[in-house]
Parts: sequence; C-alpha cells; structure tokens
Amino acid sequence: MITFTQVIVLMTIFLGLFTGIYFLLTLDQNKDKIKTKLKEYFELPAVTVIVPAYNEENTVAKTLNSLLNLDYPKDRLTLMVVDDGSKDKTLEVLKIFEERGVIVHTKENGGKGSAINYGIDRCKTDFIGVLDADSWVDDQSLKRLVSLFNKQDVMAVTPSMMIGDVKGFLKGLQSIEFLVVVFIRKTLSFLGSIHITPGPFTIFRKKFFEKHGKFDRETITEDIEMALRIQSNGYVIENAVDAYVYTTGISKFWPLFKQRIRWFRGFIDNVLKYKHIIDRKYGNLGLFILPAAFIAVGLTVLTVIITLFNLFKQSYTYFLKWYYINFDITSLLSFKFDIFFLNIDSMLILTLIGLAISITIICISKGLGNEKQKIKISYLYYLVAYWLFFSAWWIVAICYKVTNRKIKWGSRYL
Amino acid sequence: MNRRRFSKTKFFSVLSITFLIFLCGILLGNYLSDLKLDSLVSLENDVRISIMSAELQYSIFSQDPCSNTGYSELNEEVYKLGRRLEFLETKYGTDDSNVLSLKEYYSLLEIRHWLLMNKMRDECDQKKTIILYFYSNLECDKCIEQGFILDYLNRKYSDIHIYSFDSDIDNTALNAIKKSYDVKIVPTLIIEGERFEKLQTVEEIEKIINVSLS
Repeated sequence: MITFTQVIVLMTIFLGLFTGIYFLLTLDQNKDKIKTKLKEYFELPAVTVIVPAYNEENTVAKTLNSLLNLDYPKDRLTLMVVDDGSKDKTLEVLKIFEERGVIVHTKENGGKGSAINYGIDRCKTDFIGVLDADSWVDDQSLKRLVSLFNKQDVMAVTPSMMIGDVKGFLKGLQSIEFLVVVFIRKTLSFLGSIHITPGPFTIFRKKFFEKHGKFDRETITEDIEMALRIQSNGYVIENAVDAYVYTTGISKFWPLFKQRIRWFRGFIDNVLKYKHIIDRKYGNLGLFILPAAFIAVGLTVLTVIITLFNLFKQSYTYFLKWYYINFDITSLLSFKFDIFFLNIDSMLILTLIGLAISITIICISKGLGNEKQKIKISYLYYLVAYWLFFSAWWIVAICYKVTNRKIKWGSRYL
Repeated sequence: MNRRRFSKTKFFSVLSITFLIFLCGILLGNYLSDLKLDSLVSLENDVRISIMSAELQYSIFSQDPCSNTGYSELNEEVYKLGRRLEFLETKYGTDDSNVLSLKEYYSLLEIRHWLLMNKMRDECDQKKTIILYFYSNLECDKCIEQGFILDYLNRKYSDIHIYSFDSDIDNTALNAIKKSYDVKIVPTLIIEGERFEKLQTVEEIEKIINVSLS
C-alpha cells in the first residue's frame, strides 16, 4: 500500500541518484581534463577587466587590489571601473586607484548591464572580463581562464566562485552551496551545458558582443541571459575549475532571500525567452540539463511541502495526546526504549544512500575548490537547511512570476 | 558542439545502475521489515508459553498459589507485545493481513492472561484494578483519545491491568466476552465488571478506580 508521499519521495531520490551518478561518471570520464593546462609557449592575450560599481565604497578597494595583484603581464592587462552613479563614497575610493593605472569612468545610474556595456564600448582588447565590485580574485586565475580560449568557438570561460571569509550560519550555507556549484559547473562544461556565466570574473571574447550584441538591460539576471544567448548560437562556454574568485556572500536573511528570488525569477524568465533550446538539437543542455533543473525544483518543493504537512499533522496528534492526559510530564519518565521501534525500512535506506552520494559530491567539490577546511557534522544541518531555504526561495520566485511582480535592483548590485 | 551531444549509451547505463541501486535498497528494506514481523511471531509464541507456564504453576501450587512472584515478568512481556503490535499497526496499516492475524492471536493471549489475573485477584486478595477496553479502528469517535488516556494510566499506576480488544475482530471467545458484558458501542470500558460507554477522562477513571480499591 503505497501513499502519494512515498511516490514523490521515491521519485525525488531516484532523480537525485540518477543525476548524481551521471555527473560523477561524467567527471570521471574527463578526469585528465579537470586541471587547467597552461600552454607553454602560449602568448597571453590582452584583456580588459570591467568592474561595474554601484555603492561599493566598502569592498571595491579589495577588488581592485586583487586585480592589481594578478600574475599577468601588466602591458596586456587593462583595468576599468564603471561607476554607475553611486551615491556613496565609491568615486572617492576610485580616485585613489586612478593613480595606480586603473581607468575610472562614471555615468548615470542605469543598472549593472548598462555599466558593463558602457565599459565594453570603450574597450580596445580582444578579451573582456567582468568582475563584481564585491568579489576578489586569486592571482593565478586570469592565466588559467585565458588558456581555455584555445578553440575559436569558445566565447566565454567561467571561473570557480567561492565564499571568502566564511562567518556565521548563512555564509556557511552559501559556501557549501557554492562548492557544490563548482563541481556542477565543471561537470556541465564537459556536457557542453553551462547556462550561467557568473558576474564575478567570467572572461568573454569581444567578437561575440560585436556579432550578437552586448548585455541585455531588460533582464534582472544578465549572466543567465548572456550564457543562454551564447549556447543558443552554438558556441562553447568553458570552465576553469582552478581559477578561483571569492565573493563576500550575504550574511542577513532577507537580503539573501531577495537575491535568490531575483536569481530564480531571472532563471525562469530567461529559460522561457530561450525555450527553443529545449530541443533535441541542443543535446545535453536541451534534453537533460534544463528540463532536469525544473523537475528537480518541482520535486524539491513538493517534498518540503509534504514533509512540513506531515510534521504538522504529527504535532497535532501529539498535542491532542498531551491535552487528554492534562499535560502530565511525569509520564515521560517511565519511557522504555525498545529497539523494535527503530523504523528501518526501504525509505530510510534509500535516503541514506542519497545522503552518501551527496556527501561524496561535497567531498569531491572540496577537492576541486581547493578548500582547506575539514568536513564537519554541521554540513548535515546545512543540507537540511538548504533544502528548506531552496524550496522557500523557489516558491516565492514562482509566485512572483505568476503574479508578474516586478523585481528591481536594490541599493547595491546583490 | 560535440560535447553537447547526448549520449544514449551513457544515459541508459546510468539509468540501469540507478535502478539497480534503487532495487537493492528497496529489497533490503523489505527484508529488514519482514524480520520484524517474524520477531513478533516468535514473541507471541514466547508469551503463549509463559502464560501456559503461569497457569500450570498456579494449578500446581494449589495449596499456596499466591506466594509465587513470577507474574511481573509475564505482565511485562504481554505489555511489550502489545506495544510492538501497535507500532506495526501504524506502520503497515490497520488492514494488513499479517497484522490482523497477529492481533487476533494477541487478543486470545490477553483473554487467558485476564482469566488468570481474575483468579489470582480473587483468591490472593490483591489490590488490582482490571479494565477491559473495546475499541474500533474503522468507525469510532474518540477511540484514539481513549487509547492515549489508558496508556498513560497504565504507566502511572502499577496495579492496573488494561486489556484492549479490537471490537472488529470476529472471534468466538472475544464475541462471548462482548456478549456477557453487553458491549454495543465503542469506546466501551469495563472497569471491575461495570460498563462505561463513551469517552472517560483521566479524572473520571481515577475516581472510579479509587472507589473500587477502597
């Protein structure tokens, strides 16, 4: 006698197992291509890095310092900051860096996309990188990113994004999330299915902007839009898993919530805009990755709703029980433990197998992400918390989409 | 472009591996669950032997039957059996055929234990309160609540014996008891031979017990 709950949970575990094993197998098949090979006599090309900044007086200095520290020939690197009409002391901070060779532009506020496009218009090199003003880069990252442009159809190379400075529960949660994304992104690159070119330090070939246009100013997630545009035109997006970029992450609950709603709503909007990609012609991306993303979201949200509902029902039964015995706590003292009551059935075993695969993936991600900290028990709390948060973010994002509510940039580009 | 190419072989091999792992997990889980059912069957056998021994012990020591004190262990076993059966009932559902047959057997064991307790109480002048409880899983308002209350009282007082009978089980011995106490609806409590219909709260039952013990 199988219930609806059990069917949903079994489907979720099955899909999770399938995707996990598929990804692990893909990674194993390409294990000699994981580390980025720097070509020996490869002439490093000229790159411009654009930093769009809006109200980033506290973080932009660290960003620019990390760029100035890049292990890259100074005559081939141009650094450009575009101040998008900041209302704080950002411009004053930038003036200091102008003396160190950074080009500073300022313009009226128009959104992150418009700031990057302003920079692209004034860029003279064949390669353009974008770096968010709250992120900083590892000194080897640019060399590694650039060496993956070896084929002409590679239009963008993505880095591995991580949370630097992990303090507090929410940042811990994001750091595990970002680590797993490092794993996923590298695997997706082997499947030709990267669908986000992250703001922090993706390097683009300028030729693509000339032929297919600059960043879309209408969308709230221009990084997803650009990636899907590149995929849609049949080009390749690569990933340099050992090019590390660090971002501060968000430490407060509501700003994080708002950021994720923006990401997810943007994802929905852009996949709908590029829905022609969900087609046999686009191979892994169209047939597997994009549909699987939506199915995964649906199942995750369903499992959370069902679990919370059952928990509520159980709590109600317990409350009823206590009510009828007049809340006499002394009855708890006579409780005898019976090993018979340990419910070890198929669901538990399958859940444990799923958990084992998740932990394997986290371990591998740590290896890829060069993360020094050891695995802790707290990771289990993060897994459970993440599942709950993820569902909440998606439910709200879908509601926003359904009610067509507008999402705008906040007081910073978060 | 060729990285994006969808590999049917990979897809189907991963699908098969996942399916195999899934199947193993389900089979292992089912095997472990069945072990529990088996353990309960063997526990019922043990309880049957214990009851028979107690009854025979009682008959053998007919001159001085009350001095024997092996009964608390027996009571514990019966209680444990009842708890585990309840657990299986919530896990497999109230209409699972295995659970139902275990329950019927358990009801008969309960009746034997009850008869023994009755005899002992009368002849050994022990201060015990015996409660029979008739419930139904199909149609009953407040049976679950009455169950909570009785469970609580069972643990609070050591000289209460509560026997729960599923009124829907069609068994001649059980039907005979129902007829003799004129049990018509559920929940019904027979406390010291007196019939109480509908939900009885903790205070009400405690009052009745104190009256009968005094």
